[in-house]
Amino acid sequence: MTKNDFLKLISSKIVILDGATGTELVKRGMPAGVCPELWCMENPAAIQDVQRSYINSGSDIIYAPTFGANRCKLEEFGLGHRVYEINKTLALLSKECAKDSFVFGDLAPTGRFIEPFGELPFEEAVSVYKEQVSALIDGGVDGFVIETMMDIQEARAALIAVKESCDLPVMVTMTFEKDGRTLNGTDPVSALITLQFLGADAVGCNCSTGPADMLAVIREMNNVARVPLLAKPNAGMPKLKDGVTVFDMGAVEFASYADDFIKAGANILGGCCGTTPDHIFELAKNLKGKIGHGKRKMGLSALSSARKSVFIGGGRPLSVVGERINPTGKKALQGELREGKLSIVQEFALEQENHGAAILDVNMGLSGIDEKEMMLKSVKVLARMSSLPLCIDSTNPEVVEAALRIYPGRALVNSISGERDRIERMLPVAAKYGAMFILLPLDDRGIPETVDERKRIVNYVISESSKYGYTTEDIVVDGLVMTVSSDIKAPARTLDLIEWCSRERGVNTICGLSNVSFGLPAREWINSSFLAMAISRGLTMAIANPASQQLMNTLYSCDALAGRDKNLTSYVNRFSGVTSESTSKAEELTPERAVFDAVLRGRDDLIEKTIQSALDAGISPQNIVDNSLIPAITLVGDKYDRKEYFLPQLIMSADTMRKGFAYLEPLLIREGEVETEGKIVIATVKGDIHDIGKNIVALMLRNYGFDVVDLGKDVPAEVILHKACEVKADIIALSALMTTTMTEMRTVIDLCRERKLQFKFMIGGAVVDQNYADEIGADGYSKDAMDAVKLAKALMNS
Amino acid sequence: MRDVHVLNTIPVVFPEREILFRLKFNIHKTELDERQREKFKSIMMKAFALCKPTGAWLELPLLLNDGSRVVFEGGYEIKSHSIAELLRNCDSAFFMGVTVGGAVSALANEYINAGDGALALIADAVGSETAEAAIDWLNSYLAGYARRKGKVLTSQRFSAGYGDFLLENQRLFYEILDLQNFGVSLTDTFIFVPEKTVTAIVGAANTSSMEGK
Repeated sequence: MTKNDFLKLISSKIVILDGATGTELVKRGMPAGVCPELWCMENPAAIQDVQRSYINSGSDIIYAPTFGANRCKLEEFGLGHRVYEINKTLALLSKECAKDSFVFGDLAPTGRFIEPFGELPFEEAVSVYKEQVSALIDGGVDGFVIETMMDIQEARAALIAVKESCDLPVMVTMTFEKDGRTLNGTDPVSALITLQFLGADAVGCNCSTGPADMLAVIREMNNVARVPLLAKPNAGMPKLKDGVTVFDMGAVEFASYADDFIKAGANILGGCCGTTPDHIFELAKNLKGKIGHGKRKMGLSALSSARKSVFIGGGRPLSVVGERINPTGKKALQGELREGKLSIVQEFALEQENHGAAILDVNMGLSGIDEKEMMLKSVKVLARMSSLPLCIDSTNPEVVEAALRIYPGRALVNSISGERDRIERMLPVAAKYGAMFILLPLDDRGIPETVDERKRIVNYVISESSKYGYTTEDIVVDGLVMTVSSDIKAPARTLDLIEWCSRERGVNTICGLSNVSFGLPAREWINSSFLAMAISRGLTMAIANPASQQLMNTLYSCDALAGRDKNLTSYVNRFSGVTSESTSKAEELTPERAVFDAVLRGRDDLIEKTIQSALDAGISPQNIVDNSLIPAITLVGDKYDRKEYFLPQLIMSADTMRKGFAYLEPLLIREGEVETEGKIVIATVKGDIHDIGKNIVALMLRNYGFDVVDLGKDVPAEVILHKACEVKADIIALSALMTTTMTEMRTVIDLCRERKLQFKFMIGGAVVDQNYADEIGADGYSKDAMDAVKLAKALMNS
Repeated sequence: MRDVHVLNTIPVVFPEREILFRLKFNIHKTELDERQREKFKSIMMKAFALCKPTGAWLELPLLLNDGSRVVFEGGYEIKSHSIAELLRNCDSAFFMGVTVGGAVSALANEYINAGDGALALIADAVGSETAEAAIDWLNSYLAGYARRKGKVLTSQRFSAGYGDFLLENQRLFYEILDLQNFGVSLTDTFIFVPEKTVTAIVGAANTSSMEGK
């Protein structure tokens, strides 16, 4: 069956698939716990009976019973060495009874996790599927189905295996949970975008849900589908009856969803768990003479990651491609990349996502590193930790191919120009993996001076790329921004090209904004003004740093004015609550109030300055403490108790207070006014290595005026008591986080009492409470750092 | 031979809400000014970027459950009434372990040493909640995996150190999941290092013999 035959079949009718196989085999005697594929091979009459039942019920395509016949699954039964034999035999058996129906080889999950999410290398997964595909081809299958996939990367591996092995049609179905995502978190639209552009001939879903829930998934996919859609729902939702999972939706009810599926956009229908030949018969009866969605258009201005899709242009707000993951001019990043590290890359990714980037540009072009290796590492890390689609930025086709092959989504390639080498080497790579690409309007003669010449190159590259199936929707033209300081007319040429692309060619456009202002002071003004002008001429994307407030504010404002921000929602969300400059000038604070305010807001960067201003205004150190610092920290404590502040705010304010107090301390000592609240020795007990909680308590106690000696973690009782005696402590504070180490608290207290020492004990930690404190003879328990301060004060006064 | 399934990367979505909740942020009451919001968010991002959630899981058939002691294939044994109760109707159990690595705790320590407790606390919370999110993800994944094998998981999962499921059992998780392969070590007092490492057990009961469809 050729791909064209497949499409012809789909355009002539709603194609009917088969129903469940496992349960039908059980009805025909397959015992529990056996390898179903081997059992089918050894009991050909049973599987052929199931398949004939489906064909007689109306199935146009039946699946070969090779669901678990990949090497990984067969190895679970010690049959890893029989992959070829089992697959080929099962394909031959299926073909034998297929009559006029078609047999598709069935590829399903390996049960392993594929990189970047798991330990199975991507190429090994591809090879596992290729092995199966090769045997099924030899068995004479008419096409392939990749089904019940919960990991988009595994689906990609199987799809690449089929594509690199033959030219037969291939359908891919993912399995979505009730929340509408796969277990790995991929939503239907992102899965569809990724798979259809990677070369699937039909995409859809099977298993997990009944027809009602699956309808919603197909509807969601319909608007962005560029290939026929497929649905293979269960017979309702599973129910547990007498310890057995059952699907109790009857055949007639199941088939009653047929028309809804056609309306939702499905061209291919079948059944999964719990369905029987009766379900397929009723389905076929209801679908007789009906046809589904007609031929769909090809291109789509959309990118995807494993968890998200991004649509570009079409009247939508401008999409920002975050530019920061690029070592050019970034010494710290360069240093890290040379050491093979990626923590700054990850930081940049999250930061840009947080600031509103829609896509992340990834460039690893740096002398002294292996660009391909670092690009692969980056793509794997970013695919894992960021939901944003990636823009693969390299001039090296090998680097781009390696990245596109491993990336679990539809990426954007940056870039392909009219240069012969790019057309010959980069374009086929981008096309193979279905990536969108940025078209750079320059050729072997360099950057054209005139707009007309740039237009000519744009037309040429679009024409060349159409040979690979590209449409203008899959392409983004770079406006080629040149610096205004060296050519005053350069921005105008870029704007003209953007307008022409947008209005006449209907192709999306992008600009690297910062080039325009190179060499000028106050570059953000030029960049944001140029952005506004370009948006008015139709610009749909920009490569920029989304952390630039001025740029992003301009962008949101322009989108609102250009009618791209429906109901002005994005604008209002961004700016609501922001006061204009004229109203934000706070009333002049008195010097005392400024100190108070600094503590209240945790502004340790302002506290010394505000205190100095207060001192300069003639306010005495003691008055600053009494009228500003103490009331402020008291209010902070109250706010924390009322939940108006949370822990980090409490600690920041306390840190600010401490810094302020330290600044005043020499003056207070001069006045003889400084005293501590008490002396505390604090430690995490022996055997326990958790100390963050203890550290925070120590910090807070210090901030509230206690003299704290912190002994660290894993501290023996003897050392604690020795230090307490040495410094004449008032209180010993003990911390433990585990049930195995909390008993050490008792050891310390017992030893103390045994030696008739008179320290007070306070304890804290996740596994202890007041009861435990009472049990071991501690004087008190505190549930958190603030509580510890209160307890310490109470113990000092008791 | 034990069939330990390794996950080099667990796809954790930034658990911002859980981190804030851990830090006692109250969505209705807590007031943050823009500067604080920006600062906290950027530290959370920085800390999250340092987390590398990885893990492993293993399904072991249950051979014996006498109400106070359970024995698994391979002779692995847990003495605990609560685990026996958890696995009362189960045929097998899934052992799971995840870690986010040590870099995030190192960051928290850096902040502490610089006297910046607020930032240390945030970094620590990010590490804890990312580890929790990772084991939640693994639990969900195993629920789907089990369902396809005709099994259902127990609605609860247990971690060592709670009730009579003593912390000593961390050694069992450590050994059968080969956690040393993830750079994890276990102290004499059964504490994992890096500390943002979480293990749990969940039961599985057979409901049907079919798989996939």
